Amino acid sequence: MHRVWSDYLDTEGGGLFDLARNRGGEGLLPAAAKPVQDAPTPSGNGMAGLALARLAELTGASVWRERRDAVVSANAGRAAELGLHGATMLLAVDWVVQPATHLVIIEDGGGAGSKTADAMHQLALRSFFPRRVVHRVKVAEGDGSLPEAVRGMLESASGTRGFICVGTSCETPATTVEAWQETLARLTTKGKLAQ
Amino acid sequence: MARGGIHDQLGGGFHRYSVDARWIVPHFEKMSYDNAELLRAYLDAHTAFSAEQYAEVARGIVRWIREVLADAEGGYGASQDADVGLDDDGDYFTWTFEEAAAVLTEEELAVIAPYHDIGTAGEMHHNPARNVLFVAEPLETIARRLELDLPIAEERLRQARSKLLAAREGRPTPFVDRSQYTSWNAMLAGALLQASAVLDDPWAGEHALRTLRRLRAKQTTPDELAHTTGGISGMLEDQVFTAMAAIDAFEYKR
Repeated sequence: MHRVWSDYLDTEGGGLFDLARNRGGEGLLPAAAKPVQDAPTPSGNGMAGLALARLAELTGASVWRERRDAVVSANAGRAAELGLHGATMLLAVDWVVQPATHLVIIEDGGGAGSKTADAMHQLALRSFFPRRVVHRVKVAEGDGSLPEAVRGMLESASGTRGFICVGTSCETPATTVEAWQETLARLTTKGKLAQ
Repeated sequence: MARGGIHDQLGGGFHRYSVDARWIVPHFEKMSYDNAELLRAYLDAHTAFSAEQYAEVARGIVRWIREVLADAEGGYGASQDADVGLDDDGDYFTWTFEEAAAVLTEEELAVIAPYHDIGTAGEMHHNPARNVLFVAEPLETIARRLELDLPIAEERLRQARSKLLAAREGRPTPFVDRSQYTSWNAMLAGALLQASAVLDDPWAGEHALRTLRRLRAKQTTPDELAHTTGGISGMLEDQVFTAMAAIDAFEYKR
């Protein structure tokens, strides 16, 4: 995505061109376009917004957040003209205006600890949360790239565990697969819809 | 959509679009990118609502990808044609009543004919005897009318569909475009990683990762992706769709 930023960014009007700036020639249209319409595949700018949003949440690096906001802002105010063809860009907007849900699996030790982490990881991947990111972190390796609120939870307990953070608010860690499953079920959108 | 003829009721996966307001008669071409997005939508619907019927639709999409589009070395073809000739309009996918009756028992036909509306008058303009399979009536209603226990009706339907699919595979098969476009391959790989986790399908995950490794291995410049092997590079959708799939893989891998 660094390459995308260096080669595709419209430095004057914002947003991303469909072709790298140094490209052209036979078979390629000479006119530069900035795709924001899903027609029929997801738009390049919408997908870029989503990729940048996920990188921002997974790494905590401000550069991705700034680029995410730049791509989305460049297309602000265009939803009405896009209609349903703007779905991917609207999903990217959703990541900007609502907090992400972080599902974090901390793997502590090998053997049984790894098995528990494997099961928790699998359950996390099977869950449905809008704007979901999944982290798997080994205690021995640490992870300075986690967002601050999530990183703070690393030192809050020991042993293999899973926890959920939404924005800056985190749930109590679950230390068994059963407890993790219960936590996911309680917080998932399915649970909210059933209420 | 899942009940309609736009959904390949026997082989899994979705045709390109519907030509009527009831989602019954499709244009029979099947596109990789449509099925990638639909796979994600049905997986999300299954996990959000704990609805098994959506998982079944998702399994059908994965089956079609595996049996029709997937290359054993990694990668996916682009699409499957609608027809096998100029006078044809989806004949591979449609049935006359006589064709169905020839491969089914009377008991199986009694269940599947009302379920998929297989009659003597079909839906196709070029040949009104040909039926597009769609879900016309709930199986529970058919079982009550035939005075069958629902599990027996379900088993007869399952057997009938299996026999029709086997018979269909003996027909001339619509051409599969084996072109591997980077952007569409990335879409499928990302969707299959999600499918692997949600449906507990190891093939989907392993093949998706193989595909992403193959995409990476074929690039001459590490952060620049060609649209096809040896083809032009510099297209935004190849870059960002592959980035999304790589993030999917990062979250998926242990």
